[in-house]
Formats: sequence, C-alpha cells, structure tokens
Amino acid sequence: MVFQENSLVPTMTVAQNLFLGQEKFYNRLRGIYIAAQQFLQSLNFDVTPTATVSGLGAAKKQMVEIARAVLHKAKVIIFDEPTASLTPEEKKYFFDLVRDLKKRGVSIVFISHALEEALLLADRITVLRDGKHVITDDAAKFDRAAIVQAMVGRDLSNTLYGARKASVRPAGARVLTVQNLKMAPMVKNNSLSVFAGQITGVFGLVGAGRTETFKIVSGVLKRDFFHGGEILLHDKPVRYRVPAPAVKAGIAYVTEDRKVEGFFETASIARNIYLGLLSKFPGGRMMLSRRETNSVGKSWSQRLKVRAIGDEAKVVELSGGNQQKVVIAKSLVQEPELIIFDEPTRGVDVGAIVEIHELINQLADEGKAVVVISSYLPEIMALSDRILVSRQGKVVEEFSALEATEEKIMYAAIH
Amino acid sequence: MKRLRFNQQEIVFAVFAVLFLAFSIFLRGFLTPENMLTLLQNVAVLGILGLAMAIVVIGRGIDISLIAALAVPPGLVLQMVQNGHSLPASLLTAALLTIAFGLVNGWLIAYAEVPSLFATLATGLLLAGLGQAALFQLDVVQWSDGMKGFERLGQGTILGIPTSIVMFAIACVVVAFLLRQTRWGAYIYAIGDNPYAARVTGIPSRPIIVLQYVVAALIGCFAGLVMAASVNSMPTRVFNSTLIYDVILVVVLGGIGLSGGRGGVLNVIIGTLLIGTMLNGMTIMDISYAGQNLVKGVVLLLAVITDSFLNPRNEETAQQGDI
Amino acid sequence: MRDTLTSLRYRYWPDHLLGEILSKRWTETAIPVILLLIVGFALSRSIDHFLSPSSLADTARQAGEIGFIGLGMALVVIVGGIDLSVGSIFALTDFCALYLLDVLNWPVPAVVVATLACGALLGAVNGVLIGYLRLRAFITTLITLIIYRSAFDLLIQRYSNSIAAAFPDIPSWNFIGGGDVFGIPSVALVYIAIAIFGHIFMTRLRPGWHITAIGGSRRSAYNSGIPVRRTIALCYVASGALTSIAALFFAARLGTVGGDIGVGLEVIVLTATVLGGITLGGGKGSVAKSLVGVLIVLLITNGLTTLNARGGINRMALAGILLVAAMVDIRWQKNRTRIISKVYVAPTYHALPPPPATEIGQGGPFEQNDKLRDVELIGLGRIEAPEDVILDRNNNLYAGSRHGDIMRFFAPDYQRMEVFAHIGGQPLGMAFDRQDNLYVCIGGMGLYRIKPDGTVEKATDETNRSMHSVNDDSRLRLADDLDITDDGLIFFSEATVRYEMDEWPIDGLEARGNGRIICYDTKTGATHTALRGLKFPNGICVASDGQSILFAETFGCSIKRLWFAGPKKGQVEVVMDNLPGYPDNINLASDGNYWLALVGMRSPSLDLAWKMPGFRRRMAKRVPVDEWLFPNINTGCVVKFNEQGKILESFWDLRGENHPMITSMREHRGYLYLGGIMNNRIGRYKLDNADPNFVQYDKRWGKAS
Repeated sequence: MVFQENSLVPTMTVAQNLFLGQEKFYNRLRGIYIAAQQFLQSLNFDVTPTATVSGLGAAKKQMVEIARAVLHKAKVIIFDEPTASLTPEEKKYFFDLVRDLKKRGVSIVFISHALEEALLLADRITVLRDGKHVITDDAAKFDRAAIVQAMVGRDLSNTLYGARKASVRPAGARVLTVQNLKMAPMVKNNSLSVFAGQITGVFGLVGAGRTETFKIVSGVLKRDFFHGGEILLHDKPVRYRVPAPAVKAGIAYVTEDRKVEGFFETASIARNIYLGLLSKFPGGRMMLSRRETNSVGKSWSQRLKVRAIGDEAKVVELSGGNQQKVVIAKSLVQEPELIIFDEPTRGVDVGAIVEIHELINQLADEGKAVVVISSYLPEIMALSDRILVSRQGKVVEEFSALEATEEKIMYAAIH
Repeated sequence: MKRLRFNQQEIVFAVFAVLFLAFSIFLRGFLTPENMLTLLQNVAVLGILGLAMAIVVIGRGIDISLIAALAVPPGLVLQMVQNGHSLPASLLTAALLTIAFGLVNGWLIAYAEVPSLFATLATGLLLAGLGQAALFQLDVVQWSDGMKGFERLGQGTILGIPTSIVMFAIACVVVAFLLRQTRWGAYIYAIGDNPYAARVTGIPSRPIIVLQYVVAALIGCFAGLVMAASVNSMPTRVFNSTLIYDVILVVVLGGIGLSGGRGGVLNVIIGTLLIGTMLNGMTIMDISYAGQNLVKGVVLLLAVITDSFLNPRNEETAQQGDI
Repeated sequence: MRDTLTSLRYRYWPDHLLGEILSKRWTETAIPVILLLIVGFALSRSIDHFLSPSSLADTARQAGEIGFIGLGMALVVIVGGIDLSVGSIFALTDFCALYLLDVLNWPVPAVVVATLACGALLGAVNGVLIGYLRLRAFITTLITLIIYRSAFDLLIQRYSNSIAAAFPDIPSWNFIGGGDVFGIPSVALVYIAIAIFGHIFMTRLRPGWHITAIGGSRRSAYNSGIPVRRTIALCYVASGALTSIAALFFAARLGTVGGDIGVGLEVIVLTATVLGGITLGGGKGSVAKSLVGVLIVLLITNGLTTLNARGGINRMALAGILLVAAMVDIRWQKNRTRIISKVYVAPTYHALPPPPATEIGQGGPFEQNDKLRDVELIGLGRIEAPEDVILDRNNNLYAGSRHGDIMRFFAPDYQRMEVFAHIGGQPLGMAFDRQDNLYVCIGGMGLYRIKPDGTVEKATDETNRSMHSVNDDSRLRLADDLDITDDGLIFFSEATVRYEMDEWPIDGLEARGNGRIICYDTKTGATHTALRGLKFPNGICVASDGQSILFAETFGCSIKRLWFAGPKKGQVEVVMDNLPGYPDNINLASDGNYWLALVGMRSPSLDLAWKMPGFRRRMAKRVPVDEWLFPNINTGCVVKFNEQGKILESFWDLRGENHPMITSMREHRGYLYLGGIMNNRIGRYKLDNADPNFVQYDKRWGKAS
C-alpha cells in the first residue's frame, strides 16, 4: 500500500483516523482510544487520541499522519515535506523512525525543499524541474551545490541563500505596532513592531502563531473579543474585522496557502491582477475595462517574469512559482505600504525563489515595510534585516541579521 | 493532440439542437413562427427566474426563496390596488418589501453565516407565511381596474414579439451587463470562484453577497409582475408548487455549476430553451402533464449522465462539501 | 471567614464539570436539544392535553414516520450528499404498498418485503448514479424527484379509484397502522430499534466509520482503501429503504393515495436534518441529531396547527424559529472549542499553613546543607530525564529516559550503558517483582513489564470507569510510581485524570484532587481504582508492616498511608503534612526508615495563589501558558523519615551544580542513587552509617538461594 499525505479525515477523532482502513467490524470506542494512545506514545507523539483532527495544529496532524503510516505497515510511504512543522528534536525522532522503517524493508519517498535533510537522510536523490525528471543518482554523489545546479540548470548556489548579509537596512518609520494581541488558542499576548524600509523576518515552527498574528493584522482573522490587545498602524489604533479595510489602509497579505485563499482559478492571470487593483482602487471603475485589464496584467506579468502559455492562460494551469508570482502581483498592484509574505517560496521552484527573493529585497529598498514569515531558516537568514522569533503564540526574541546565527534563532524558537 | 472535450453547456446545447431538429421534422406545427413565439412565451417567466438564480449560484449560493419573491410582492401590488391605493405607491411598497427581503437573505448568509440553502428555505417560508397571514385575503389575487394598462407588461406584443419574451430579453441584457461589464459582476465571479481568496484580496465580500440576494429578489419580483400581468391575476399558491426545482434545473442544466464562479446568461438561455422546446413539443404531441414531467426528467438525467461520462470528476480534485 | 466561604464554595461547587461536559462530543448538539425543550415546554403550557398519552402517541406516530426518512437523509448527508427525492420515493412506495395489498391482494408480509425492495430499488437508482457514475447529488436527486413524482402521478390516475374502493381489514396490517405495545405505537417501537442500531452502526461499526470518513474527506477515505463508490451507493439505497418503511406505516395508518402525498416532504426532512445539527457537506452527524431535528420540526408544525394558527402564521413561526436556531447554532459550533479552552482549567481552593523553615540557621530537620555537592555523576549527558532509578540484584543500574527507553548501566563502574528495552512514552517509577521482572509506570501509556531478557509486555492500560465521572477515566494518562506487595498486588499512582502527560503542570495550577491510586493484580490481571480524589499522587512504597502503602501527594504536600490489608483495610491516614516542598518518590532505607524526594520547594507566591482560585482562573484565561504561575521544580532535596512521619535527615545541593533537582532516590549497598526528571545525569552519593550490603530486592523478596 502506498501511503500519502493528507490522508486524515478532519471530522473524525485521532484514534479513528489512526485505525481507519484496518478497523475491526465492531470497534469498542474506549478500546480504540486506549490502543491509539499506546501506539502514539510508543512513538513519543503527544497527541490526545480523543481529539478531533480538525482541531489539531499542523505539527500534531503531521504526527498522526506519520503514526498512521507506521501503524498500517505501509510498504511504500510518501512523505511530502514532513518536517516543516516539527521541532529539531521531533525531527530527530522522525529521522530515526524513517531509518528504522527502512530497516524493516519499507520504501520511502521523501519530498523536501530542505536540501540538508535530503542529503542527510536519502540514499538516492531525484531532482525534478518544471515537472520534468532531471537526474537520479546515489546521494553520495551529490552535494548542496550539485543539487541546486540540477534544480536550476545553472549555478545558483551563491545567489540562493548565499553569502551572509554584510549590512542591514536601517529601520525607517514605525509602520505597525502590535500590543498584547490575543486569539485563543493560537496567539497569546503577542507584541511586535514592523518598520518601513527593511525586511522583518518572522521565524518560528509551524503552529507558533506567526501566520495567525499577521492574519489578524490584515483582517483575515479576528482577535479575541475580550482582552484582545491592540494593533497600531502608523501609531493609530486600528481594528479590522474583514480584510477589505486593511487592504484600503495599505496592508497586503500574501497567503501561505495560495490554492485555498490565493488566486481565482477560473480567471486569467490579467483578471486576477485586475481584481486586486479593483478592490483597492474602486473609485471610477464601475465598469470593467478590458484594455486596462490587459495592460495591468501585461505590465505586472513582465515585471515579475510570469511565464505562461498565452495571455488567456488560467492561473490554475501555471507552475507553483508562477502561481505565486501572480498572487504577489495581485497584492503589489494595490501599492501597499506593509506587505506580509507568508511562506513566500513554499512549493516554488528554485529559479522562481531567486526571483521572488530579488523582488522582496527590491520592495524593501523602495522603502516599504516588508514582513517575511518562514519556517525555513536559510530563507529567513538570507532575506531579513531584522529577525523576530515566535514561539507558542508570541514573539520571544529579536535579532539583528548581523548578530543572528542559525543556532541562536533555533534555540529561541524551541526553548 | 488535445482530446475533444465538451462541457455541459455544449452537451445541453447539442441535446437542444437534436430535439429541436427532431421536433421540426416529425412534429407538424412545431416549426412555425407562432409556435416558436408560444414556446418562448411559456418559458419567459422561468427564464427570468433562472437569471435571478444564476446570479446567486455564480456567487456560490442558492436562493430557494425566489418563488416567494415571485409571488408575494407582486401579489401585494395587486392587493393594494384592489384596496384603492394608487399603482405607483403600490409598486414602490412592493419594491421596498422586495429589497428588505433581499437584505434579510443577504444578511443571514453573509453576516450571520447561515448556509444559503437553509437560510433561503426559511426566509421563503417566512415571506410566504407573511403574505398568507397578513397581506392577501384570497389565494388568488385578482386584477382590478386600478391596474389598467399594467397588463401590457405581460400581454400583447412589441414589434410583433410577445411582451413577455421582450421582458425576458431585457432581463437577459441587464443581467449580462451586470455580470460581465461591472465591477460588481467581476466581484461575484471572484467570490464564487474562491470566496477565501476574494476576502483576502480585499473584495468587500459581505456587501456584495447581500447585494446579490437583493438583486435576485428584485428580478424575482419582476418575473412575478410579468407573470401576473400575463394571466391578469396572482395565484399566490404558486409558492407550493415545484417551480423552484424547474428554476434550479434551468440554471444547472445550462452549465452553471453549483460550486460557483462559472457560467453566465448564455447558460440560462440554453437551459431555458431546452426545457421550453421539450415542453412545447410534448404539448403538441398531447402528452399529459405527468407524462411530460416524466419525459423531461429522463431527458435531463440523460444529459447529466452524458456530461459525467465526458467530464468525469475524479477523487483527487473533487471539492469537499460540493454537493 | 472569607477564606472559609471560598473554601466551601470551591469544595461543593464542581467548577471542573463545566469544561468536562463541554468537552464531550455530544454537547455539539446542545443548541437543538435546548430548542426542543423550549418548544416542548411552551407548547405544553399553551395547549391542553399536549402531554396526554393519546396526543403523545399521535405525535410519536408522525415522528416515527418522518423519523425514518430523517435517518435516511442523515445518512446521505453524512456521506456528503443530499437526497431530494425522498418525498417522491415516499409517495411511490406508499402507492406500491397499497396497490399490492388492495388491488393485487398480496399477503401482508409479502407487501412489506416488496415495498422495502421497491424503496431500496428507487434509492439504488440514485445510488448508482451518484456513487458509481459520480453525478452531483443535488442535481441528480432533483431530477429523480421529478421522475418519481410524475411516475406516481401517472400511476395514481389509473389506480386511485380501485385503491380507494378497497377496505382491507387485516389485523396485522391494522397493527402496523395503529397498533401499540404498552401504549407505545408500533412505528415508534420500530423506530427506536432502528435508531439504536443506527447509533451503534454509525459510531462503532466499520461501515459507519466508512460513511463518516467519506463525508469528512472523500479523498482521505479513498486513500485509506475504503470502497468509496459502493459505500455512497449503499447510503442512497438505505435512504430509499428507510423512506419505504415510513411509507409502509403511513399506508397502513391512512390507507389512501392522494395526489399530494409527500409533496414538499424533502424540505421538511431537510430542515429537520440541518436543524438537528447535521451539516450539509458531510462528515458530521448522528442518529440523535436526526431525531432531535425531526421532533423540533414536528412539534412546531403540529403545535401551531393545534393552536389553530392560520397557515401563514404557522409558516412564519416555523421559519423564524429555524433561523434563530441556525444562527445560534452556528455561533456555538464556531466557538465551542474556544470556550472549552477558556473554561477547562478550573482552579480550586487549596490552603496550606506556612511551611516549616528550611533556611540555614533556622534549625529544624529541613535545614539546608551542601551534602550533595560532591555526588558522583553517572551517564552525564548520555541520559535524559531519568525520573526513577533502580538497581537489580547484580548491582546493574536502570533508569528511564525521555525517549521511552529503559537504559541499563553496568556494574561496577556504571560507565557502560545500553538500551535495555524500548517502550515509548515517558518511563517514570520502576520496581522489581520476585521473578526479577521490571515493572515500569509509563506516563501516557500505563503499567508495563520488562522481563529479564528485555522483552516488553503490557501489564495494564485501563481501569474501571467510575460512574460519577464525566470524563471517561478508564484510560490511563499519567501512571507515575508503583510498588508491589507480597501478594503480588501492584499499587500505582495516576497523577491526574484531567490532563494528558505533557500538561501535568496545569494540574498543579488547578490543585484539585484529580489523581488516584490504582491496583493491578498480577495474579488475575484485573485492574481497579483503589483510591480517588488525590492531589497529584506520586511516590508509592509498601510500608514495613506489609499491610499498608505510603504514598505522596505532590501538590497536597503530604504523605499518607493507605491500608490495603489487615484490620484497618481501606482506611487512609496522614503520615506527614505541610511539607516545605512537593514530595515525589518514596523508597525504603536500609535502616527501616524511608527515603523521600522533594521535587521542588514551595514558594510563598504559589501558596498564596492556591488560596485564590479566582486569580488563577483569570490567569489561565488571559495569560499565555508559559507565563502562568507554576510549581517550582528546579531545586529540591532528599529527606529520610520514619514510620511515624518524623523527618530524620535531609540532603541538599545548595550550589545547584551537581544534583539540585531530585525526583527519586534508591539506596543500594551503602550508596544513594539519585534521579531527576529534568536532569541529564544520575547521582551517586556515599551514605555514612548505612548498611553496605543493603539491596532492596533482598529486603523485599529475600536473598536468592
């Protein structure tokens, strides 16, 4: 049996999910809860077996998926970015588990953008580019640079997560202040500031409340009604219940999950970007203008180097990198002052990563306040002028990019 | 080579074409100008209602309360005129009632986040109940003298074309304009395509959704006026009929998916034409009402099955909760 | 005075129940049930004889009929579809039954079977189309609604006269229509039977799980190897069959076929289903929800009809109630988990007298010293979280680790280390039995047994559920420490039944008696709860008399004795209370006294907070978890006490370098071995004046021959 990601049923309990597919005809509920607890704990996964899966955080869901794969004695297991939500320690457990599975004769496909992990764990590495197979060989014959080269087709190892920053951009005016922000259970008394003209990197494990915090800032989520804290934009308190007024006020949020809340799949690239323009500057645009649509679409497609077959191509037909560029363009056309990139390079090919990073740097140079949320440390290190580390729902540490090291950041993120 | 694929719209159009051709050849009296006009006249109200439903369905909703909007406000106009109020005042009151009704629908769905199927089911009951309990004295509200001239809305001809067809055409043009040319239309498609993305992009989703239901209710009311004018009365018991199912069929059959974001006025027209042709042909063949329904159902089923064979849904891309 | 009031209020008012009740999955249905009660109450006040048996029986008959259709609808909605054709199927099967009975004069059993088959067949059409051909449920059942309805109309035109003319008088048919058993109508009986089966079916049987899984996530279900298409198809078949049951009862009750039978029935049933809390889109729902929904809709419509309301008012009232209920229910579903997370932590009043002094110069048995400054360290940096340590007869040292391993250090120098066994969870207390089996309490898992060859066996992971507890407390969450009596009874403590392993500090904040002592009988394998309501029971040690155990209540700051045999069997007495710290494991000393580890020292701030439950509740609601006031477990000590509860000696590491954090200690051949749950080392301290040949195993089980 091949085992895949996203095999959980959100409306069922953890225990039910674990045993689904090999349940008995009659299942004693208490029995399966206890059995599930025994099994999860034997893998050292702290997940409550009676909890409903939809209420779990990303990390716990990941654990249930892994436990399920192990329990079902799958012969082939496909892990798609399994480590994104795990702490280094859990990651270590997980790697041990994978090696153990390997010994038992299980074939494992490990899909990852973290090259270091692939090199550490894999016996054979296959590189895909633009949906095409590039190279497959023993892991021993690869190193970081070789993989990157195979991924991009040219040597990029220096531009991509390359040399450390020699200097950081100075902080401009304070654009955003968050004070004691609260949204149970994800965000807990979170406070932070964001300044113009620099990139503020927000690091944390998945589930550390980073995404939620900035979703509240941009009005996508609502903070707690009682004791919810304060958000100041240019030192003026603001409170957005929906994103529309936040967009009007110059906040753009580029989502981490573009399929769910990023783009309009039946619409063309130009229409997607034009919709962004319409919702920020509706004045005088009662009627749609095909000419304006096309010109806006074209200019932004060129600026962001969106590669598509024909002008009328639908966004859903594009590659991940190009989809992401469309989503970014849709936000940039709104001329925001504060741009929040949530995992801007997730599921994006290496070539596009470089371009997106260049773009983000360019935005900061233009004097915009840029926030980059990422759980990939090299990305944070490469982009940020200032690094905020988030843990369990609040920002716990702040570093200047000059003083930060991966060890320091990771330590702050988990302790 | 790209595989030849048909979408539902094209299949339905093909079915329509085949039926039309078959009827033209085998049914005497089908392909005459008079019969064509009758055909259209019979489905004009259905078509107008289909337009209202299309707007809502494109925005990923559904409006079961359309029939209430069709029956109650126009009935109110007739009733008020009967009671001695002037026609403009009555029309204005009915329009206000319709708008208020649309606002309630929209508020429940956009702000209180009640699923649209359930919300409109209940509000439809509410409005029909209101009409029955407080507004009308009889089940059928009769035409009165004060309405004189207003029957032109549903009777007679303009340039030789029956007025109700003209009204349907006007409604088509207006709705097509709203959906295709205005910012509001673009927003509706965006919301139907991906409501979460629409929200994050900064589209004022909630007001747009409210407006959507208000416009749908107004179009429903308009359909009711046309209907009342053409039969010189308002049978308010129409609420109890299965008309709403026909409306949904017109829309969905025409190719406007219930998952939203797709389709347009053309789809409604095609759906309406198919139903109209079928009913008309069968009437000429003198099939009983129940028999007509049976045949209609079977043909629809075949159309949907054909669609599923040509465009199979697969497990990977099937949307959750998409019924 | 105020303290007394607070203490009484917290002793008798069960704050913790609110969170526990809300955590139950059935509270999802709370809003519909409350609505049902309100409607029922309002109607019983405004209608005479509303609650009279005949009126109730009448309601039950109708409820049964619609209830069957509601069950079918619930099934297809849970599987992620919808069935609009139920009204038409109802009409057709009603016709089928009457036609077979009145016109063809079939015997009643044959009619019943044929009608059910007819309903299943009509449902099967939907099932094949939606399940196998994967058409959209909404549009498909809409079309079959029209087809079935027109078929019914055609049939009616031909046969209604001959059906109306017949007056069958068959007892069994009449019983179906109007019979009752002890006043309960036949239809209600059948409904109850099917509903109970349905409940078990949905929650415990494989097909029920498959249905829920498909509705919750069709793709996941498919990936799990569930036959998605067949299951979906069968749901529609079941819906058709259930509808035909309703039609059978209806046919037997009224015996007529009117043209408008079942018109709009789908709307009523759908309303009931959604109102009961079964969300369109699938994956959520239960038999109870379906029943509640049906009852609400039926009560409202019947009640208003009885009240002689005009048709319009009837409709408006129904619609209004539906809308309000739906809005409230949506808010409730959205915020339920949030409310649970806010109210689950329910601190209680816990007053302790001022602790005895520990400062140097104050004197007293707890006076701090630096005796542990020079403990020898074993396995430094190579072991993590050895909560308990134990030595076998061959002087090898065992300790648990955070990764769920039991590590073994080999005598004599304890430099060589191996993984003795891997269990998982968090290994805590340990004890050897007479056969050299190592019993280990595993936090999060239960009681495990490791044979001398290293094989792991589960001893117990479940105890009897207590009847008065809201949470299901049969699952072991935090087995902590154990000891074995001469008769082979294993007493082990479970620190809390309200929190999972990784949330244990919250239990300290709550300071309620959530823990218990459980007894496992090695001879019979049975497990039962021996003592409840303890404040984080922890260390356990069989006392020298062999008739009682000593146990520590960590957050009760006390040591108590439980008699499990002898004249005082079942009694509990306090040995020591008001300790200056939080007691952990207890073990035998070579001189017949006992060792006790204090895992942390009390602090005035927490002592004060324990007297202020309201303050702690606010803290739990408003402040993030890692800023809560938790019991301190950074530094502690080892003390020795005697049978009477007198402290004889204490051992400290004041500098906090070598071994400040102690959860357990074991005396062995003149040395004291120290474990600590936050440590990466095991301590070894040379005892003065101790028996150099003392081995715990020999003391307990006698020297091996």
